[in-house]
Amino acid sequence: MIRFALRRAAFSVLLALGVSFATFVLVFSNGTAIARAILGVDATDEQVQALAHEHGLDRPVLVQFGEWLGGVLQGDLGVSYYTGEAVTDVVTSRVPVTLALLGIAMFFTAVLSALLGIASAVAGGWADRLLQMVALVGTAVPNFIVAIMLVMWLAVSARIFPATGFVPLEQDPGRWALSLALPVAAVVIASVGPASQQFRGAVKDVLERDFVRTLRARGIKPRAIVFRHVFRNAAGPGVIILGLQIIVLMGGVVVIERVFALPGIGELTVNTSLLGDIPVVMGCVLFIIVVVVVVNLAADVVNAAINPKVRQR
Amino acid sequence: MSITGQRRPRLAGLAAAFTAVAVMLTACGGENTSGASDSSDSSDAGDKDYSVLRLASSTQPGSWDPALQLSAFDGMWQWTAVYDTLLTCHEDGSVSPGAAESYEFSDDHTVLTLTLRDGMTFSDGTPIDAAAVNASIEHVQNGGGSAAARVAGITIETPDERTVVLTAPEPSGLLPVYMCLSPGIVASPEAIESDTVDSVPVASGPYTFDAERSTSGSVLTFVRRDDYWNADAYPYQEVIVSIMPDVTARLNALKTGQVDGAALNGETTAEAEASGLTVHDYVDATNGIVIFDRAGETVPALGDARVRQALNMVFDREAIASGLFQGQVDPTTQMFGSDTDAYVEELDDHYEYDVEAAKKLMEDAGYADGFTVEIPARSPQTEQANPLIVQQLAELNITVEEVPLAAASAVQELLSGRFAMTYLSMPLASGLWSMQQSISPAGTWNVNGNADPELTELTETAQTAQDDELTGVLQEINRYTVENAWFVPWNQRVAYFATAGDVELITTGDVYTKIPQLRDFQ
Repeated sequence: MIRFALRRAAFSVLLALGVSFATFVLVFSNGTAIARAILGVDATDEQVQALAHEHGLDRPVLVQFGEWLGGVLQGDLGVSYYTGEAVTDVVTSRVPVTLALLGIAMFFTAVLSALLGIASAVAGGWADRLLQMVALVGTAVPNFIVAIMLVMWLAVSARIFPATGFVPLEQDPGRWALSLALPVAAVVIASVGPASQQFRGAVKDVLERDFVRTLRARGIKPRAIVFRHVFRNAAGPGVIILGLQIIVLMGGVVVIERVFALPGIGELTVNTSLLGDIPVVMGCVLFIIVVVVVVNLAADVVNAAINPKVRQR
Repeated sequence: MSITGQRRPRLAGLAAAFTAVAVMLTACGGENTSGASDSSDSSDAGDKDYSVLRLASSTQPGSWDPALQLSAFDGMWQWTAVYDTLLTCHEDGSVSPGAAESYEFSDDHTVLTLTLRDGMTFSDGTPIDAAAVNASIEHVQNGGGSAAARVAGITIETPDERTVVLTAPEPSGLLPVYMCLSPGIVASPEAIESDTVDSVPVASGPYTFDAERSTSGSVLTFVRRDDYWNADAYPYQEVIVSIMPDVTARLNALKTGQVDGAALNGETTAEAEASGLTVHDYVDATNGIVIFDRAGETVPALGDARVRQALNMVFDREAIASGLFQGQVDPTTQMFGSDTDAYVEELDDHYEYDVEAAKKLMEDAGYADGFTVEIPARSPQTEQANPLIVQQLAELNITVEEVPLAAASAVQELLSGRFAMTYLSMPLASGLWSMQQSISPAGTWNVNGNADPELTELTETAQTAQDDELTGVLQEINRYTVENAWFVPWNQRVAYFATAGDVELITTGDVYTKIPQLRDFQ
C-alpha cells in the first residue's frame, strides 16, 4: 500500500512539473505583449521593450522557467508586476476562500450524492425515477444560473444571506458561514446530480451480485448489507467521480466567485490574466495544479485502501 | 475585512448550520421590495450619515505607483482617494485649481505656471512644495507608465518653493487637463524613491489607505484626512471600495444595500430602476469602425475617400441602435460627442443608409468588384459587431476576413498597424482630447499616422486656439474627418452609474474620466 502511494506520488510530481512547464511556455512565449498589456495603449515601443527587459521577459523561455522553478522550490513565486506584493502573499490570502468553498461544497456533495444514490438504487420504483429526474435537472442547470436564482430569492428578496462578499473565518465565524452559504449551495446543487447517479449505478451493480444474495439468504439485516457490504464495494467509482468533480469545479468556481464577488483564486486568476500580471497568474496556476494533483492522488489512495485489486495494478 | 460594511445580517450567530435556513426564513420574512431604502439603516431621520461611502468597482486594483495610474473608469477611485492632483477638471471640460491654488497658461500654450497652496502636507507630515511636484512629474516621465507620453519632453522649473513652471517643447492645449489626471499627481519624493512605491501609498489627497482593513485585490479601505486642504468637499469619513468585476454582482450589492454606488451597463439599468436605485446616464464613447489605412498602404482601396464613404452608407444605424444596442444609443456619423465643443449637429446624419448609392461610389472608384480586408476579432468587444460588418460589406462585394486576437495581446496588435480597420469603442472626452488621441498625426489611435496638409494645419491651430476660435477649428476638423470618411461611426455609447439610498451625485465626473469622482458623492 505504501509503495503504491509512493509510486502515485512520484507520478503526481512529474505531472505537476509537466503541466507547469506547458503553461509557463504558453504564457511567456510573447514577452512584449505582456509588457504592452502592463503599459497600456499610449506607451511607446521603446518603453515596452525597456519594461520587457526589466522583467527579463526578453530572455529565452527555458531560462525564465528554470528561474521560476528555482524560486518555487524555495517558496518564492516572485512579485506582482502591478502591486509589487509577493505572489505567495497574494495567493495565500485567496486560498482560504476557494478552499473553503471547494472543501465544504465537496463534503456536502459527497454525503448527499452517496445518500441519494443509495436511496435511489435501494428504493427503486417511482422514488428512483423521481430522484433520477431531479438529478437530471440538477446536472442540466449550470451552477451560475442556480447562483443567480439563489441570490434573487434568498439575498435580494428575503435578505437572509449577503448577496456578495466574504467574511474571514477568524473575523466572525457566523458571518463567514452566511457569506459562504449561497455559493456553496449553488455548487452543491449543480454537482450532486451527476455524482449521485454514479453512486446509484455502482450500488445497483453491487446489489445484483451473488454475495449480496448470499448475505440476504443468511438473514443479515438489509441496512447492514447496504452500508457495510454494498456501499464499500460501490464506493470506488463514486470516489473517482468525486475527484473528477473537484477538478471540473476548479473551472466552475471562477463563475461562482464572480457572481458572489468572493475574493478567491478563480476570481484572481481571471482578473490577473486580463491585466497581464503574469507572476500572479502563474501562482494561481500552480495552486490549481497542486489541488488537481493532490485530489487525484487522494482519490487513488482512497480507492486503493477500499479495493485491494487497485493496488495490484 | 468584510465588504458587507455596517449592514450586519440579523441572524449572524445562527448561521453555521445550513439547516437553519427554515428558521431564518420565518424570522426574516416580510418582503423588502425597495432595494435602495435599506442602505441608510444606520442613519435616523434628520442628519445624513456620512460615516462611510461604499462603492463597487469593476476594475482590479493595481500598483500604488503614481507613474502607473490610469485616468479612466472606476479604477481611478483607488488613486484619486490618496493622491491630490495639481488642477481639477469638470463635467463641462473646464479646469480649475487643485493643489495649485492658481495657474497661468501662456497664449501659445507652451508654458504652464502653477502656484501651490501654502501649508499642504503629505500624510507622513512632510510639506508639499515645488520640489515634490517637480519630483512627481519627473517620476511620471521616467516611471514607465503610459501617462509618460502625456508629459514627454516637458521641462520643469521651480523658481521658488511654491511655483512650478512647466514648459512644453511644442504647443499642447491639453497640458492643464493632463494636470487634472494622473500626470498631475502630487507624490511624496521619498515614497517614489523607495522600494515600497508599488505597495504603500503616502497620501497627498483627501484620504489615506488603511491597509489593515483592506484585502489585496478585493477590498480597499480609505480613511478621511481632516488636514487635507479641501476636506470639506469630501464628506464621507471612510470610503470602502469593493472589487466586483461582474456587473450582476454589482447590481445585487446595490439592491441589497451592500454598496452605495457602482457602474452598471445597458442590460442592467431597467432592473436597477425597478429596484428603486437612482440611475445616471451619460455618453462615454463612440461605437463604430475606425479605418487605420486611410493612405491605402495595405488595402489600396481604403486610400480612396469614395470607398470609405461607401462604407459609411451600407450600415442602417437606426436598425443597429435598436437591434444591437437595445435602443439605448444615439445613431451618429461623427466621432465627437454631443456634449463637446467639436460637435456639429448636422453631422449626426451625414451619411444616409443607401446601398445603391454606395455601390455607385465603389464603381466610380474602380472597386465595383470589391476587395479583401482583414478585421480583428476580439471577444467580447467585436462579437456582435463583426458579423454585421462581414454581412454589410458583402453588399459591396468586399470580402471581410476575421482574424481572432488573444485578449492579452489585442491592443498591441491593433496598434501595430497590421490591420487596415477595426470595430472599436473610442472613448469620448473634450473635442481637443479626441482630436489629440485619434486624429492628429501623432495620435495613439491614428495608428498609421495618416496626415493631410489641410488637416494638419487645423490640428496644429487647435493646439494654441482659445474659446470660440478653438470651437471653430475643432468643428472644422470634425467636418473634415466626416466628409473624408476617416471613420465609420455607428452611434454614441451610453454609460450608466447607479446610486442607492440617500447617496447623491453632484456630477457624473469630468469629461475626461467619465466616472463619478469621490468628491461627487454627497
